[in-house]
Formats: sequence, C-alpha cells, structure tokens
Amino acid sequence: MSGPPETAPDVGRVFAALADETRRGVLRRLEPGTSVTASALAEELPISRQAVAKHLRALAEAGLVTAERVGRETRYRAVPGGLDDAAAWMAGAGARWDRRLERLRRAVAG
Amino acid sequence: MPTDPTHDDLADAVGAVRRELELDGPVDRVWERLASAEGLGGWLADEVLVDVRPGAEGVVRDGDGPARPVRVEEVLPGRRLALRWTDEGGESLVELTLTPVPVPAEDDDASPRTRLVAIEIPLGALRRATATLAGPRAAALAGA
Repeated sequence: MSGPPETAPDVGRVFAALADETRRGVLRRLEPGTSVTASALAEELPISRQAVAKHLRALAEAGLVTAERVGRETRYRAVPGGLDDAAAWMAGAGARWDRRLERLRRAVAG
Repeated sequence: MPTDPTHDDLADAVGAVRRELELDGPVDRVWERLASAEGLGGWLADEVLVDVRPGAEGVVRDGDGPARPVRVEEVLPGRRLALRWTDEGGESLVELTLTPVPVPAEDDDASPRTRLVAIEIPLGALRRATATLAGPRAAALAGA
C-alpha cells in the first residue's frame, strides 16, 4: 500500500528510538540548551563511550538529537520540542479512539 | 485480566495507544456491529470504504479530512480484526479484539457482556517491538 503523506511526521521512528530504556536515560541526561560529548555522558552512565555514542546516533536518526563538530569533538544537543509530534500523536490518537468507541457503544446499544 | 497475551505485548510497546471497554451483548452481536461491512461504517469513521476480508484495501475519511488508505490485515470472526492505516502520525496498526466477559457461576440472570480491547500502534514502533516482545504474529502484521 502507499506510504503516508510526505508531510506526516513519522512518529513510529521516534517511538522506536525511545523503546530502549538505556537510550531514554541518555536522552534524559541532555539538558535543554547545552551540548555534551559522548565521553562526558559516559562518565555519568554505567555504559561505555561507544555505547553512548551509538545511542546518540540512534536518537539523532529519529530527529531527537543533533550532532555538531566542534574542533576534534562531536557535541550532542537535544532538539527542542523533539518529542512534541509523538506526544501530540498519542494524545490525538487516544481522543480519536475515545470518540470512535463511544460511537460503537451507541451502535451496540441501539 | 488479559485473556490474550498478544494484547499486552503490543500495548506494552512504547507509543501504543490502548483502550478497553465492556459492551452489552454477546460476542457475536458485538462483532456484527464492530466488524461487518455495514457495522464498521457506523463507528470507525464518517466514511468507510473497505471490505472486511484479509488483504482488502480501501479508504476511510472523517469530516472534511483526507481519504486515508486502510488495509485489512486479519479477520478472525467473533474474535479479532486488525487493520493497517495512515493517519496524522504516519502508518499504524489497529487491533480490535473481543472476549466474552466471564459471568459468575451463581449469577444465572446476568446478561452477556463483551470486552473490547482496541490498540493502535505506529508501524515504526511495532517493528521495533517485534524484535523484543511481540513475537512472530506482530512481525507479520508489521510487514517486517
């Protein structure tokens, strides 16, 4: 079947990136407005720098994190509002199901 | 009380929306309202143009919204309907499962009721979940 319209955000990609508890932990460590290296994050977490870097790349692919080269370092930063589309989808989908199921309840009762 | 572990597998995935409700009537009657071609159009969306058979493709539309493609993935009469469709968040899987609500043995007069569990999960999230918790059936539904 055809894919989603080009304008539709792919919230599935965001949820897939968030499915990993360790990766959520990495994302939580990124403070708004500041950037950090994988090495600095690894010092705060019980995983290797390589593992942190892998999670950061996955978060970047989902559009939740940006990476920038500063000299010899790669610094990572949380994208402001990166979770907004996914949160809005969940709230919207929940509300749409509430409406559909209320229609179904009336149809079954009628 | 989950009667079918696949529900909770899918619903546990990050990004899954889950609703559960009890409806008056036996499973067969609820299924007729839920999933017959006529019944589906009465609640799923303002306009529903799709046959209820596995592999059928069609569209649904709400109000002035766009026609959204929909595909029927699974039909187990009296039991489960699974659809794949495109909505505001991209492509997602919808799973609707019916189970009879148990009636206490001492209550002869209780009228039958049916539990419906509705789950919607973005396809990307489902594909990720199939790797860890949802098993081969979910993998097939995700088209992985």
